[in-house]
Amino acid sequence: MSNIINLTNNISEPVEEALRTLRTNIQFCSAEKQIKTICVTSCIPHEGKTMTTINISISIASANKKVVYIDADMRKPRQFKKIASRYNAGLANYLSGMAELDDIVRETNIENLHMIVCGPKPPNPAELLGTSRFLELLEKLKERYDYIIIDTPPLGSMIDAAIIAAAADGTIMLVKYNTIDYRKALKVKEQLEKANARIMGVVLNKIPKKDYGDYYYYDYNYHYGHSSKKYGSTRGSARNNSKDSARESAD
Amino acid sequence: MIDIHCHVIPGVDDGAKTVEQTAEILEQAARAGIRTIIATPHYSGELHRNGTVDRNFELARKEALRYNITFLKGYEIKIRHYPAQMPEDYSDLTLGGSKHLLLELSRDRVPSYTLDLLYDLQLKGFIPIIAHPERCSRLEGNKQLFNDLIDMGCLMQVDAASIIGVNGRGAKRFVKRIITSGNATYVASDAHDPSGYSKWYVKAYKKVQKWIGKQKSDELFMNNAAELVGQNIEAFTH
Repeated sequence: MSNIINLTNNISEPVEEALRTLRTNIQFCSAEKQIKTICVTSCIPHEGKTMTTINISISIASANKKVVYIDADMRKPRQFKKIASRYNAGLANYLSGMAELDDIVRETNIENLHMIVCGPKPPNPAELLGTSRFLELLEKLKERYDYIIIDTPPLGSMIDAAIIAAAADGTIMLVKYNTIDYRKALKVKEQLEKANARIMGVVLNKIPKKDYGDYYYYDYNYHYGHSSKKYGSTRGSARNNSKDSARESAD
Repeated sequence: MIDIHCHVIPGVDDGAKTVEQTAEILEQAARAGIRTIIATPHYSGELHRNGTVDRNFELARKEALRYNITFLKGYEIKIRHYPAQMPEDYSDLTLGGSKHLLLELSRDRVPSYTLDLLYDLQLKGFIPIIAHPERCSRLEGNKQLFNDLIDMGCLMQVDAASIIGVNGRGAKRFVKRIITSGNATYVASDAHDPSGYSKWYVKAYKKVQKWIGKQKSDELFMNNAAELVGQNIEAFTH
């Protein structure tokens, strides 16, 4: 392990509270069903997947669990991956047999959180993820960590996430507020079900401040609703849609 | 400033022919404010294997000491028409002992195995730098290919001479596009003779400042390369 990765963690109060809620729900789910590997996907790009996934990882790590974050989004143009450009060896190197586990796991500045970047962009990500080496990697990581959180490409456009979701214990679907047609979201859900993925729940992301207050008020008692009005200046808000999550995890 | 691409080692390629010429080039480099040079002769398997490059590198390094220039070795490797013409082992060919490889594309054609080769190098842990993409007319015409290279994580090194138009109007237009769109990582002299530094390098620096401001142009001319060389220094101290 070398080259510590620095993650910044400056999120506002309501978002942090939403993340805590999400973390707690994940922990509730995992207590029942032994969920250790969690795959996060969405319908289209730019729904805030990476941001949310990293924040969930940080949140769980801060609750004294050992977490490893895997960036399995090997499709995304490299220029957006400032982290990956410096720390070259990653998932692709491991899956193609050019690196071992210790070469690709990096420490971060956050305690209990380790990271595996995606590495060079392969011409055939889906084939690489379909190899037995990927399952092997997850098994090895399960021995070392409490949670393995996997960031994937959007399932609406790429199949990779379905392959990962099939291998993972649980899947979280991320939906950006007011942009995704419900038919599209349903299609992604169906695709996940076809892959035998266990959908843990849906996260509604990027709720604008004014609507966020309403949602808050609707689900929680007015005390929190009040505080959200006070602090609620945030660009990206994440929170767990607890109704969906309850329904999905029931089946 | 730091120059990561120049042909200053005597008698190994089309750059400096004699040690005297090397000294002339280095003098101009020092005058242009360059403190670190990575000498990158065109890769030739034979000269590399029989030690000529190493011997002449030492000669040039002694000259560089006189001008207080840190002198490191690298290669400029051309991606040739057939994979069999490429070197088998790249570990001795990196820039100043870092993980970066300086690769050059032919002007008019890019062989079909190029992307596979680059991916293979990345898997082995190397970071490919494409030398003067603006002079490859194939890349200018084929935006898809250029974007593929960027998407893969290839770094782009553009020539100072192209910036002020020495390599033609097309190259100048293209290099401006590369720099202003933020896709360039390094600007290097690619000097084959003293004029590479005395005439073009400083002018290019001023021009790039006009295009993208001082802070960003310092990154292209200095800081990014410092990081490349710095990794190397760290590696030595361990």
